[in-house]
Amino acid sequence: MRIAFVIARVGEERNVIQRLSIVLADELKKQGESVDIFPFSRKGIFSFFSCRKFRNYDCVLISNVGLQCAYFSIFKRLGLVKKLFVAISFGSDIRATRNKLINLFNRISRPAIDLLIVVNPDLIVIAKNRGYKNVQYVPSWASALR
Amino acid sequence: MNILFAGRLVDFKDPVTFVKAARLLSQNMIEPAHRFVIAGDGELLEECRKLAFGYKNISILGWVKPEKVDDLMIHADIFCQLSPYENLWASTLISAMKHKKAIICTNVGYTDTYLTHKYHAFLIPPNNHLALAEAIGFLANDNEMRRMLGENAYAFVQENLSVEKIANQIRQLLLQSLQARQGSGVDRRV
Repeated sequence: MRIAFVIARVGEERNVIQRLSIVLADELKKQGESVDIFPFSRKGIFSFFSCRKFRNYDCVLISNVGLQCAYFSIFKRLGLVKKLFVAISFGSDIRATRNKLINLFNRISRPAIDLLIVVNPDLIVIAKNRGYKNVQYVPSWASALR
Repeated sequence: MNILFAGRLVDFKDPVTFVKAARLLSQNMIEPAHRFVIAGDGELLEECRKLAFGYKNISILGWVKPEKVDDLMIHADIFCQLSPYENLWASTLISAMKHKKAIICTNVGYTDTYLTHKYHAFLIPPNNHLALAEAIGFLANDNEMRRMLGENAYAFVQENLSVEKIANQIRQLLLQSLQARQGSGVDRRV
């Protein structure tokens, strides 16, 4: 399986999500998958043809339902990306139901996401309440962090 | 005894209860029996600092590098995870389990679905510094219980939370979804 893994804030030491995502990418590679990391930054939103880079992949995996997810979801919803679209939620991106920005990212992303993977069991209900249909729980692999 | 709280200093993690319990266990003592350490930053940092003011045995470090957290974890005797909402699967909780620490954890959300009281962790009610102080006192006086909790928590991580196992679950989910799409004939050219 060829996976394009979109990760925001790569290299930011304080950000646990990017560290967890890189650990997951490494482990998926060890298990025989072809994984390429696509670091996402806010500057990247002006590259209007950036979705073309997913052409050679089977699946687009996105870490966190944040700006990066909303951004590529627009391409998916416009039909410019037709790959399997999977997001991993670590909690903070879907829990805060009163945060307008989080609500916006979720509203944009939800129709595009084929599968939402959540790393806490309570997030299944939270995700379903937000309207996600295909939600699967896996435990966190934070034990692999230093 | 070294008692550790590590995590974001926000309502979701409830560091204030930790500081209140630390104060309670340190009051009227010339030589406090325990050292309390908080590692992390967030909107409650200043409130925690104010509450801990004047207590030499309560250290509030602010944000520290992951290597430092690891070091604090190694030297801790008891780790506290006190969310009033959900503790699973906080990275700090998993780290404490991996380090075989005795954990005091609030019994909220799915916590007791996975962690058994007095087997994997010592479970207490949320937002209750009296219960936390009592639990710290209990564990501080019971070496065998601390050792047993640490061993069982570590075994849980080894059995259920390995990156190999979880990455494989994610792989299977991706493969199944891909197969389902191929079966339904969705155009994947772009």
